[in-house]
Amino acid sequence: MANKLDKLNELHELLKSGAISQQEFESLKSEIINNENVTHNSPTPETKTPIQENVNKEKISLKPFSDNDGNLIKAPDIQYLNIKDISDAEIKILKPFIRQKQIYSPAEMTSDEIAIGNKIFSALEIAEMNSERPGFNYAFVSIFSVLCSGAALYFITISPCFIILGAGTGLIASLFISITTLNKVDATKLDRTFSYIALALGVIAIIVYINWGK
Amino acid sequence: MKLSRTYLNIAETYDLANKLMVIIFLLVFLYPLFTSYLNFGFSCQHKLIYGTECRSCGLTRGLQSCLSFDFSTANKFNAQSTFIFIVIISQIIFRISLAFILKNKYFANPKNIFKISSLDVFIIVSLLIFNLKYYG
Repeated sequence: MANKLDKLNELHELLKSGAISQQEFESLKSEIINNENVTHNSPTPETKTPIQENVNKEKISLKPFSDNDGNLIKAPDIQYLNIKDISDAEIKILKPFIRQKQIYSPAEMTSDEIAIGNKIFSALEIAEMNSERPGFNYAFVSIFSVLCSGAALYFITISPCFIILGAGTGLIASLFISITTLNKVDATKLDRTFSYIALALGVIAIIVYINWGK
Repeated sequence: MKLSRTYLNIAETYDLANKLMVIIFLLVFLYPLFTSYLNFGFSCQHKLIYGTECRSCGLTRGLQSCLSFDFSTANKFNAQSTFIFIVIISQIIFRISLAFILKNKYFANPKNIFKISSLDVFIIVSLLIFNLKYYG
């Protein structure tokens, strides 16, 4: 406010001395008053409130989770984030947290964490972190391939009436599914183990068939 | 590829496998019913290839007789039909009860699931070995 009065006095002195015309005085006066109003309403950077600081940022929800050993992993202390433009420092903090959560507790991922993760991780990185999960990513397919090869072995050893429809189709389906699963980048250890079991059962079924045919 | 919440833990995976097994055993149980009511069935593919009857020939007719509780006729069609009928019935009952038990979170922990699945594999392998040894 004092600044404003000083400037107006200075301007009045200039008018008195004839350095500026009445018209110029009026326009400069209104400019000072208007400018002063703007600066009066918007605080200087030093006095910004947290809400004003985060005017371009959204409030995000990062929640803690427990890893496989039951240890509580705390969420990073970030409450506001511009998801469209995440800084390198923020990525450095967020990446390990989202990575661990996606591996150990994907069901508890918040929609903000998923949005941020999709922004900061590449498709290959996501596939690799999914492959580190302790459970299945292809549960149905993995179990189905084991059941198919088990059925093939059953039809060859116990019930040969269905040797073509049962054993043949079961074996082909099992081999196809397990090889496809093994080629997936995001297949977990369990997915791979089940696929190997299916392949092993399939090989046993083929060996039994060859020997039994003789 | 994008991040997702989709994930099956060990208990849910076993539950899925269990349900798949229920469907398979129900299909095996219903197959003789369908063949008798719809007058539909497959002839022995082993006989078509090798010209001789195999160890499972007459099993469908045997299971049909078992469904009408005529076990002596069933054994005439195929000696192992009564055994397979009992295995199918017990497996259906066991798996449906297991599906209800696993709804309880107290039982559905990884250690219990590991024990149940080990027992499961042991039972199935034992039954197969018994079938092969006893019925030749």
